Amino acid sequence: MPRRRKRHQPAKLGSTLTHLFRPSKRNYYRSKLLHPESILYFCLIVLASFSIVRALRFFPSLSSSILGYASNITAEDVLIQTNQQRVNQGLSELKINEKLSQAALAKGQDMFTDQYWSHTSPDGMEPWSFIKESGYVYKAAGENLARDFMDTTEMMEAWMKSPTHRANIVNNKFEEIGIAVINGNLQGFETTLVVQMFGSPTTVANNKAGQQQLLTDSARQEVASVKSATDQETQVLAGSVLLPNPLDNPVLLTPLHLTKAFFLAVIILITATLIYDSFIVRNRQIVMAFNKNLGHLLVLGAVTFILIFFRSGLIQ
Amino acid sequence: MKFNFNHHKLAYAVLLIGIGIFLFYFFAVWPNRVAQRLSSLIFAVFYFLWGITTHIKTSRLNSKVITEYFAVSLLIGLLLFLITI
Repeated sequence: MPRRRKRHQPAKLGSTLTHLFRPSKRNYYRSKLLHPESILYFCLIVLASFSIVRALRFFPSLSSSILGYASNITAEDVLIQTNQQRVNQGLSELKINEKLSQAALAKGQDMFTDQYWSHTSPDGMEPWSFIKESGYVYKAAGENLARDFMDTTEMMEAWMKSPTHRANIVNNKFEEIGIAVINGNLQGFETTLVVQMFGSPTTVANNKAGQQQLLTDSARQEVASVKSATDQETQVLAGSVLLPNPLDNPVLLTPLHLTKAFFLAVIILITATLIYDSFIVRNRQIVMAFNKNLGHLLVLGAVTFILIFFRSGLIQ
Repeated sequence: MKFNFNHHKLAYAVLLIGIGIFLFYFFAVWPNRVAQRLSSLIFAVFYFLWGITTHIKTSRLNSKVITEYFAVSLLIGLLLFLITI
């Protein structure tokens, strides 16, 4: 009896695989994996894999050591590229104001503390409240937010493509800026938040305070690394406030990468089956009025292209 | 497949144009995730309708074809919708 079972198992497996991939009379000359019910099962697999990646946030020890968005964004780069965009539009460069930078930092820390991603906090606190709390008196003010970006250039590109964010960056009313680049855990995943606070001061006193905090060309180069009270590395630019705390653990891959990997695996399996199915049908010269495989292959190719080139990063 | 392609040039031309417009629009509206999501859903519906229309023309439309196009459209719509969340 055991001998029989051993012989039977590979045959059964082979038969199942043939049924799944090879068009034959048994599967009505269409690979079983391409039957509508199988495609619907793939939909469930896609939903399940997406849910698993999302559910990882409930396992902090796992998600913080594996998943997250590691970026090389620095406040200095953000300032340089913001001013570059303004100069391109024939506008004056924005000057760093320490109070605005403190407001930006407070806003970023508040988002990490209360775990939200919005201009308005869950308790109704608006960006202007952070600016006022920092002691900055303004005629006009604005805020740009970004998260999950890998580098400054990509983030600036996203901001400039959004009409409302672009309006802040190239607003001729704004004279000063505060920037905070902060790393932390937001909604279960390690990420980098970037907060830009724009303002135009009202009083002479405000102007003077701002002037003292200006970034001169030489001061911009003076990047110093110091240890903060929480023993986290803090990057400080002379005359400005920039506090990117390094990620607690270097992450291996982003949640987006993991989601893409699951989705691409599903597409590759279906695409391979479609190609094999077409090959067999053609070789056996099975008559078909219209081959659906080519249409499916074309749209799956488009989806694959999107999955590969889809970029992470959100702006608010 | 070549034989098939030659007999349905117009249908595949429409599909290729649809895919081209969709790809261009999807990347052009970046970083607007809502617009990307919306265009993905429209694309999935477009593919479903394309499949049905093409099969009506070949007089080979049946419930199995409809469910197959529905399932594939649902799958691509789902993949694109979830990636933009």
